[in-house]
Amino acid sequence: MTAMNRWLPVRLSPLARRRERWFYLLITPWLIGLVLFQLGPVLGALGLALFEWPLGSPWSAANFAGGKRLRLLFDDPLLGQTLWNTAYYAVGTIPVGVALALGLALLLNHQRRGVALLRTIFFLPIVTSGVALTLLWGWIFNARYGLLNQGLALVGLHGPAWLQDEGWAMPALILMNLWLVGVNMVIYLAALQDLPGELIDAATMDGASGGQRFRWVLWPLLSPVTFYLLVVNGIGTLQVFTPTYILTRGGPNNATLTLPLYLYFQAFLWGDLGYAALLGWLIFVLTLLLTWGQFHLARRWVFYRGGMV
Amino acid sequence: MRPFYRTLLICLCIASFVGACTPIQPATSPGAAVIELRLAVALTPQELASFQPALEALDAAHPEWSVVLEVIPQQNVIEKLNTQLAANDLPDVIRVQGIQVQQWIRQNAFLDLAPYIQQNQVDLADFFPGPLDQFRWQEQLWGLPDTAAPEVVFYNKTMFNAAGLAYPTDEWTYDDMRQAALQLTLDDQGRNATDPAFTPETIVQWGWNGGLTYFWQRHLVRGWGGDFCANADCTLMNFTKPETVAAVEWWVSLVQDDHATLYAPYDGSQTGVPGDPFISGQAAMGYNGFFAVGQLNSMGSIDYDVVQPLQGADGQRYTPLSTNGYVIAATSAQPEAAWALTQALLEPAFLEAVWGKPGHAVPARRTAAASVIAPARAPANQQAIVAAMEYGEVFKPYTVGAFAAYGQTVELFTQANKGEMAVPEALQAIETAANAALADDRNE
Amino acid sequence: MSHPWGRHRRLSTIGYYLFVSVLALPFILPLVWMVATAFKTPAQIYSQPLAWWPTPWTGANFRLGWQLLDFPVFLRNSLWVTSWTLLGTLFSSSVVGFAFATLPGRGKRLLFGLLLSTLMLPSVVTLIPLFVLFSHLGWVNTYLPLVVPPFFANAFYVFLFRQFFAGLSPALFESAEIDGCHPLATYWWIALPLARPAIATVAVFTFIAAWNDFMGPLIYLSTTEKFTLSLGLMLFQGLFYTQLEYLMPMALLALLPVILLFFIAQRSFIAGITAGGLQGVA
Repeated sequence: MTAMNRWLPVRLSPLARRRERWFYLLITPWLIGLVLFQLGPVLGALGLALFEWPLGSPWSAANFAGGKRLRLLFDDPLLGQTLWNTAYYAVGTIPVGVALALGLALLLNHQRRGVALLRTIFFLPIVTSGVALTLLWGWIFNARYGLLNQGLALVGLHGPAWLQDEGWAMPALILMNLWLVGVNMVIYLAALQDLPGELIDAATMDGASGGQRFRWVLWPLLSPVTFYLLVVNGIGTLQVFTPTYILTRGGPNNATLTLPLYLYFQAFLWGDLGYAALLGWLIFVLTLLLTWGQFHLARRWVFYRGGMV
Repeated sequence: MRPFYRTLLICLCIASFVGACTPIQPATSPGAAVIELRLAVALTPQELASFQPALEALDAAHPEWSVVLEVIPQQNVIEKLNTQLAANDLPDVIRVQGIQVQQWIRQNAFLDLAPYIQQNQVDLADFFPGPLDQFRWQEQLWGLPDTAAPEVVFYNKTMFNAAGLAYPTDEWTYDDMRQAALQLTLDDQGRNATDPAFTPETIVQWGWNGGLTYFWQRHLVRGWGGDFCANADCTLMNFTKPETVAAVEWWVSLVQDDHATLYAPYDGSQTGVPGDPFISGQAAMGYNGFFAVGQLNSMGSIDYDVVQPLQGADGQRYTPLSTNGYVIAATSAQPEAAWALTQALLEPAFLEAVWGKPGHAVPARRTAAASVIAPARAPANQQAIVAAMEYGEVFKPYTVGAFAAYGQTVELFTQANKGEMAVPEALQAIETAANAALADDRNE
Repeated sequence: MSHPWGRHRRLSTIGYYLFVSVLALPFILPLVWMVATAFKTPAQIYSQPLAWWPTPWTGANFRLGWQLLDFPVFLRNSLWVTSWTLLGTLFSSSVVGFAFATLPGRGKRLLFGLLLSTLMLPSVVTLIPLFVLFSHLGWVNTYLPLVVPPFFANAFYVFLFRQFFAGLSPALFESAEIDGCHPLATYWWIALPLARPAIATVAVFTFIAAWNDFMGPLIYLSTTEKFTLSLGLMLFQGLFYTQLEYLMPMALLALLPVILLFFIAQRSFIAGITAGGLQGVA
């Protein structure tokens, strides 16, 4: 295979040139969409962050406000708390979520009876309406009458006030997030289907135990998908705010105020679209750094059978 | 592979077929004389069921217009209107909720209605003063209210019977309420709050539905001569006047010492059920807005009635009301027609038929308000609700900073109510936080 | 294939099912709760004590909710929007993902970085500029803003397909090219059949996202005859309280197609006829 992955000019063979032409052809749907539907709005978002003008008046009346807004950002008393909450949430949900998804996928990767039903059950929370989620989890976590505390009382423990307790609200949200593991599980299930059975069989015949088979055969083969899930969940955590919005509204006392939720409040509740746009760009920068870091680390542990990175 | 794609293709064919069979909405008729007006409302399906037919009848009676009804879910009005405003794509006439409307009024999104009111000799005296105040800014009127929902005292007759107490009357004061609330607060052994063996940890029924738990409840301190607002539109707030502090301490002691009411009434953390404790059958009395009538009647499980809001030490009553009303977009291409539509929507007959008689809300005009009274419907004393319209006032502050101020102060109220912070100290913190959040609105 | 369990098979099977069922209990809770609420009277929904089971069971709210909402119209609209979104997303994302995974290109890494970075700006920030764009195009109160962009590839799924194809043995594609297939043919005849599990996954996710999407319809659709199901259901969420007694039954009805789709799509995940499928790996 020729070395294709440099962006420096390289003398390509006719075959490679031909294949490269096909590459550019096949990605045109994306490129066109980028120019049509993303370029303009992104510039608009930049404009929102850097300029200010009253809503509804012509854009020519704008004046530069970038410096002022950046200063507001650095002076923002809530920003530090928000960043900490977001990091807390990310670290609490991503590794465990992905691991749990892998476990469930392995557990449900067979053809025995009832497995279709079981897989559907694990996937159910993803599709349930947001309102049902709020009420259900509000009730489960209720300090006095909730299912969780009543269960704990049965074993003699006194449960905390969960969503009303500053220290326990975030753990409660993290616990709730585990329950949305179906998405990651399904992706793992799909990936497990196209793994080469002969490699696993060869390992078994060589006398490898289940654990060894997992560590040395399954895990590397699944690493592209694991990588995908880590990256995508990382991006998602910095953008998703629906559970926090519905269950705690960022409370109590800003203990569950994550960055995307803060952005949403600024944009739509507190009416400061410009500052909200700046927060959006902050999220962009943070996500970029996180993802770049993950790609950099990927060389060490992600194994592509085509040899590409 | 083939069955999957075949299925997908079949779904698509069905969808295409279905879509092709959809009657295409006729474009505005070619006659140039017909003006197309966009009217946006945010209504529940029940309200739409009353509103839509009446609007169609109105539209039919005015061949010079063609009204396009746009509907927004009630909880998403801010997102939708902000988006449309940014794109200069607001509908011609918008029915807006009271506490949200001022943020757009102050961005000059709507027309000043004074010229139209004068020209058409609209009788402003026919509108109740409270709802009208919602649409005022800088001495002008930027919209007109069509309905309002005042808060009145709801009480549970079964609980009163069980405690052997006389029902509340229209003449009740806060002290009358407190005395009754103590006897109506019961723990799981049925002991009331005056009983020495009463255990507050096991309360199953509270006397009153909620204490002073957030900063929009200025009506709860007015009866003592206090007030949270230090200027006309409440962009400057004062929580530390002696009368205000005394009133807040009265309420906090009702929570802290007497345990007769809740510090977290609506989120369900104390009651186990989110929503108002009176409605969940866990409080014997409380202030509730008119929406509670609809909800209680549909539940049918609580035998209740209402009386006018409690009298303060000065013999006056103070109660909030939430309003709805119509505004005309400043960018509307046909303001004259938009005004004509608005006027038609505010006719007493229209208000009676669409809002009053079905019992959705109280019309904001005196000549139509009484239509909301329906003897066949609970509660019995509906007259109290209409009476409350006379002195009810809108929630203040109502600028965009108010929502941030609410978020920054609600925890402080909880801490004061739970005794975690002394009342004067908490009020000082609340004042600082609220005024900081409202600073931008104050300086315009 | 060897069976690791041997003679303890039956005991292990029962143990397995027991374990998984207990694990599955919290996951089925929301559906049970929705069903219970859908059959309760309003009094039972809003008052203490909160009972799990409706006493009595009443189906009246299904009928009332159906009458209050224009359910058939909303359903039709949702099907329309979701079908087109599905078609557009599947084809465009898979082809672009295939290109990134198997074809060379100068600047490919930069382009891929660009692709990923489009995911990183929160959509709330571009919501208003995008609306302004569509407003200038005259697409407001039509389905076009919802249905056209999916045909230009969804970056999340391009990434997924790219990872997927990159994880396959390149020998599969090389042999096709040696036989004279150009990349599009390779994509159609070799890659797509192999990608069946990924396609099923993306199809299910796209369906769910489009079916439940309310932000797009909220911003772009104004008249009720165009509303999708997800948006229509929100009409029951009033400013002062949410009408659970109607929302739950209708939401349940809206849920059924999704559950059905997932159930059926599983056969596409786990057919095992693809080259080198892996079974019973646990």
